[in-house]
Amino acid sequence: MSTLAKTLATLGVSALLVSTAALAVGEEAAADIVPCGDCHDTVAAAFAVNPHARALGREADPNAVCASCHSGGAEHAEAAGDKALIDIPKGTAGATLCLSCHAGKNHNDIDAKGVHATHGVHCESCHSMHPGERVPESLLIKSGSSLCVACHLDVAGSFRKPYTHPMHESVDGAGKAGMQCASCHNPHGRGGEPGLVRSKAGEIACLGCHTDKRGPFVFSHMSLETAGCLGCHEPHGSVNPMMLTRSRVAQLCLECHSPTSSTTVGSRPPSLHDLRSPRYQNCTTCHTAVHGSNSSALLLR
Amino acid sequence: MKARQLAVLVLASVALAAPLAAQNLQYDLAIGYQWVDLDGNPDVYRTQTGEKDGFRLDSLNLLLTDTKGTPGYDRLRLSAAGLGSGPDQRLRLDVGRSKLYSLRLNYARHEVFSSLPGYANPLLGSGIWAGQHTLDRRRQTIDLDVELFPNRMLTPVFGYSRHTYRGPARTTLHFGQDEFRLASDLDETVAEYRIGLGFAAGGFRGSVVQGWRSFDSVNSMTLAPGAGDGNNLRPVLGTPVVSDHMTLRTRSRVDTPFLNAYVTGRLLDRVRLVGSFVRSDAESEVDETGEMTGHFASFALQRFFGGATQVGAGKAENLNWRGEGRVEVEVVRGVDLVAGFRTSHRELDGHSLVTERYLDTVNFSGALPGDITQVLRATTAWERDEDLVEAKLVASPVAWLRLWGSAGKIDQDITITPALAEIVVPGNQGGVFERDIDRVSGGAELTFGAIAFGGDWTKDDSDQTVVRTDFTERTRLRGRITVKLSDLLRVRGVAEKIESSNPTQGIGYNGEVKHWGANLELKPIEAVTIRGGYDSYRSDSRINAFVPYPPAPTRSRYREDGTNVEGSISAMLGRFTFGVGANRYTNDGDFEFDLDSRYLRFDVGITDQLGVYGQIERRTYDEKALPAADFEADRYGLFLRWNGK
Repeated sequence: MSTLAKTLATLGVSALLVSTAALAVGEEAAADIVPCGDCHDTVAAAFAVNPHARALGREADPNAVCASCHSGGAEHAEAAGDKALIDIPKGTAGATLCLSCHAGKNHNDIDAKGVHATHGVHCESCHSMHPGERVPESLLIKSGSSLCVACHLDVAGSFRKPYTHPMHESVDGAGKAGMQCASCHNPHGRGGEPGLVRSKAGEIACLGCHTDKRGPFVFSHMSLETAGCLGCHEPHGSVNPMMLTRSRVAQLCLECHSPTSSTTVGSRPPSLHDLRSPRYQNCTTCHTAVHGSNSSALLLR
Repeated sequence: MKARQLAVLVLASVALAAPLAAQNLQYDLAIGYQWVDLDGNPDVYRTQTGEKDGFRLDSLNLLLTDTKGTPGYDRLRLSAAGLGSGPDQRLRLDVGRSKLYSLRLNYARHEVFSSLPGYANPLLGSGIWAGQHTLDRRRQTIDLDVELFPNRMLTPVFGYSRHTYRGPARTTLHFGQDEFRLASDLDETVAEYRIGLGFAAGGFRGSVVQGWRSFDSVNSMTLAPGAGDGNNLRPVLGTPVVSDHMTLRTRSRVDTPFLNAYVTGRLLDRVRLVGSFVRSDAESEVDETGEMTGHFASFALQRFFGGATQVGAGKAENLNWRGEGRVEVEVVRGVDLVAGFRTSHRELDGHSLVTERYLDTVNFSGALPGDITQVLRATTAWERDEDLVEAKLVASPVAWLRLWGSAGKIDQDITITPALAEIVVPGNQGGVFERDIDRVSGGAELTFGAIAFGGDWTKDDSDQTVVRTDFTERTRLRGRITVKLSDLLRVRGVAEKIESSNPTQGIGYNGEVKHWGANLELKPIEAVTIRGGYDSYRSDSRINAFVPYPPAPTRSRYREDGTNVEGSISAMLGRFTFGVGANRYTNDGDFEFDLDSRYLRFDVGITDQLGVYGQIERRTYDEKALPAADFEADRYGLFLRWNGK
């Protein structure tokens, strides 16, 4: 048995034993249950297929689930349904309640003070807790990316450009199987780079699919380590082939590879590169290993 | 078992067995056929859209909820789309029983196709339209995550991922003072195993996951048919450079153990703490071989030669780790403070040994015949440390107003040690770089009845640049407005301006990006929706550059002037639903084109559960500088849908 297999087996058995012992811990005490379903019969019926219906386990009284999110039920019922007496979680307070169960367990999970929260976008802005008879995935009020682009108009327009990631859903409704905004962005995370989805090994979202660009390479293209993928590519869509930031490859390369000062990285191409010739206007025709090489410092192979 | 077979098996077994067991069942299924009728360049169309003829499972959604009877699970959601002829295909299974287990299985398949006449094509001027770098590969991913005893104090987690990237491509090899087209066949597999433990105790929860990832890739390349003359059709020193045989093979293996830990918890009800740490330690081994025969020249060797063999071995070690801590405080009701620190480290040590044997060489005057062996030994290294400190204050003193401001500082230290023996032109390939970036930002969001508007401002200042296109100063302004009049009318608008600059002597970088867009949604009656939108993308970037030959300084300028206009109408009349729409993206910058898309969709309900829908889409691409890339494609699809509960 290999070391890896032994380690896996040991960790697996240990985890199973520990967690089985923990099963007896944490059963909730029964509380006084308000018969919400007596009045809210249609809501209660639809809620039977809601993921939250299972929050207290399959043996729990369905009415008990309501009190998990709505406090003041007894007063509300006694006052003949006075809406002012029942708590309907919204905004920051609502998010705090949701996070009492949905708080993150890993680095791609929910950040209560993320970029959306800063801009006043909270749980109920995107999720419907009572969606009706049909239960959408993740209780989203619109499917996947079409929800995001309703606010992020600028990004939606970028996906009208000819060279984009395959995210057809939001563009022309043609395909439903492509990427979604959440393939790369954590909607519950922070803005900018910290809000990108990361692989379990901590890499940026791009390398989750573009595994051949991970390396490590003996000869790295250092712009990848300094400027990252966005140094050369536009991830939301580009007017240029390969989603590049420039339409001419030589122009893209020479903007860094023109060492007019000594304080930057970027070597000078030797003078054999006659840019009047089409051969040298397409740098990648020779320098094919632009993302890194293991045998050529010049990234030729 | 192949991934596609697995997907079909899961799909079929669940679809057959589930309705028998379920108490609550919701489903919708759409399946049909689509075909493409194309004039013009099919490769450019496929590069842009990936669409082709064939049967397709357009969508499948199945939800089973059985809270009492079934012992194995109390919820099951299966969704799929694109299976069949779709360029992107996915299948997702989410099944579990509350407090016992949760299982998520994702399968995705993407076709990666690229064949563009204007890209990497030095022969375009000679009327040869096929680009030299093309791809026709498939990427498949399976992700399986299992969590035992969810929402308990301890939850073991297990995971497995498998990623394959396979198929043919065309690439080029620079060899013997020429470039030769190669046919490539890639077979790449990444497998990842994960095991860990989630925990929730005393207001704190988190997880620790240990993973192991292996990467195994074999890329086999041979001289493409008809490519023996290379790109350079002119003789070198009076002798034509040709190849009659080339085979190259690269095998790469990378082992990467990694650790991922995360913890979050509340203190005193108003304070939340978050900590995370991730570490990976990759080690690669690469073997390369190559054989070439023909007639070649080498200015470096100052010889002609009749062939070569290459044997290379590379090894790289790459350590990455990142640690982060953050505190979120509700100072008073409506005022939040978030402060955090992040530190990360990346380093690489690389070693390469390449032995090249040049066969049947003669010097340029035809003398001194013999073989020459050249051994290249290289050692490289780089190291990158980054620290980030930031704080953000968010206040909502009244319901209609939110204000926020933040400040942060990033310190970067980068050390690059290149392989000195490999440097052709000295300079700017290594050294120590220290860059500090200061960032301040602020913004506000206001809501007055049906109108909401807001703006953000961010300013970055850095003391140094690492690459020439780095900024020393960058300003970003964003604004947005939403007007909503019940369900009748909704108007949204956004505007953004980013200015970047680096006035350093010799660089003189100035970049400006301006974008604004607006859309309108009108619902004059419940059954009719009218949408319209407009976007403007402008980009203007200038930087000093240097042309290597003929040697001269130049001012590199890049411009984009893109406009997107779109509109659509959708309506429902009883069992009949239809939608028409069109959009045009026009770019008048350096790379001019028009891209038009028009569509018509209709849906006819035969019964409450059964219906058919169809779609007709026309996509027209008109590239000003290269008409060989143009196309006009009509895509027709007819689908049967079935839904129920």
